[in-house]
Amino acid sequence: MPDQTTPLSDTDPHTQAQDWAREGRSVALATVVSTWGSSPRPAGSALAIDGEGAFVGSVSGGCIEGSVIREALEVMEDGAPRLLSFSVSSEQAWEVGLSCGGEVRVFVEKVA
Amino acid sequence: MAHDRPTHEPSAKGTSLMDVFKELIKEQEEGRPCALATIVNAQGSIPASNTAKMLVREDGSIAGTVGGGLAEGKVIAEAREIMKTGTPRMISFNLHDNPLLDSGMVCGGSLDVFVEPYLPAISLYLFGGGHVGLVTAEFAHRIGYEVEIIDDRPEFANAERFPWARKVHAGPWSKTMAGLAPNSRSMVFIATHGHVFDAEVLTWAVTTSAGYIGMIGSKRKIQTVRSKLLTAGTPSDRLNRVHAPVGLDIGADTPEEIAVAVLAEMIAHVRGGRALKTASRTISDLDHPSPAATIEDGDEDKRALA
Repeated sequence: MPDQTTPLSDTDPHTQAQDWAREGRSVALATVVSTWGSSPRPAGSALAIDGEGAFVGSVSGGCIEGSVIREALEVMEDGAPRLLSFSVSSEQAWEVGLSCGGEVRVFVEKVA
Repeated sequence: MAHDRPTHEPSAKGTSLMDVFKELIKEQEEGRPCALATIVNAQGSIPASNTAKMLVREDGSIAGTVGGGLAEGKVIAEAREIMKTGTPRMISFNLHDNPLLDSGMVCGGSLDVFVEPYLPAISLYLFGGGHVGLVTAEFAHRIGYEVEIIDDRPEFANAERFPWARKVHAGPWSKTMAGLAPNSRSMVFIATHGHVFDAEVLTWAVTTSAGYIGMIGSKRKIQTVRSKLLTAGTPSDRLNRVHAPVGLDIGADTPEEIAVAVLAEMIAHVRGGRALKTASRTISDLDHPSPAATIEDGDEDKRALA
């Protein structure tokens, strides 16, 4: 690695997950694995969550983060990864500035 | 293992999740693309679901496992494609319909594997720390490219002027260039303070693996530099891929506008955008004008701004 590297952003969820893990915190990672056409965040988008519920990144425009974080805290407790499905109705979608809704699937796993 | 690709591990068994992550970080530090496959859903029972992750390296070798067998072979093949396209994908197997894919890990159910690419950062080697260089470097950094600045004038190439640059090189051009090795995910932009230096940098740039090379200047200047390089022995097919006049043809005039045109061209290159065919110009257009190059090109030299 070049010695003068500047991080792309201090809010990169993977980097944050790594940093938290180094500090000895519990960490879960939530990743969008499938989504619909005009969804706010594409597949591959990630959210890092620590044992206290602190989070960095995003898996939607803010519609489902709350539920994902709640599930992540459970995943850190029992260690079992899970695949979550959320349906965003067209009405809800409209409220967050999207023309239509769809289904988003988020994989949540304990990484530390 | 049902696939015949090389593996670095004698056996994937016993590779922990942390080992997979360590291998991923190693590939990233080496600047090589790789992909991470994760079992996100399995109907049926899967043992050790916590460690159902597999890293696929550029050469197809793996660390970790998603269960072995034909399904794993398919995931490896898809992962190598995903490294090229850069788009993550979910790969679903219906093992009931295709019992041959079953590794014994999931009995007759379905299996969903999410595969995401980890690509090395895109780097921009920017020759010339003048007005255009400064703004272009700043915009490039904002877009997320890692920028290295090269200039022979320390007052235009220093960490105070480019605080967020990955590296700033001040010194003789040839000496700096000898230590640089752009890869296919690197871009080179040439906007030095003199035609002679531009020619010197271009002579070097076309011998590198850089995916994108662009040089500032009017058509007349580009013709001059091109003839000079051809006479000096640079093969014409190497020169033909150089983007010049640089930037999408949007009539850019100020350093900021030029930076936008150049970065737009770079984005089109990275993302495979259509603008590259319609609004981008290369040296080869001097002989065979493309639709973009037939639009009348202003012949004023933007050098004063570089």
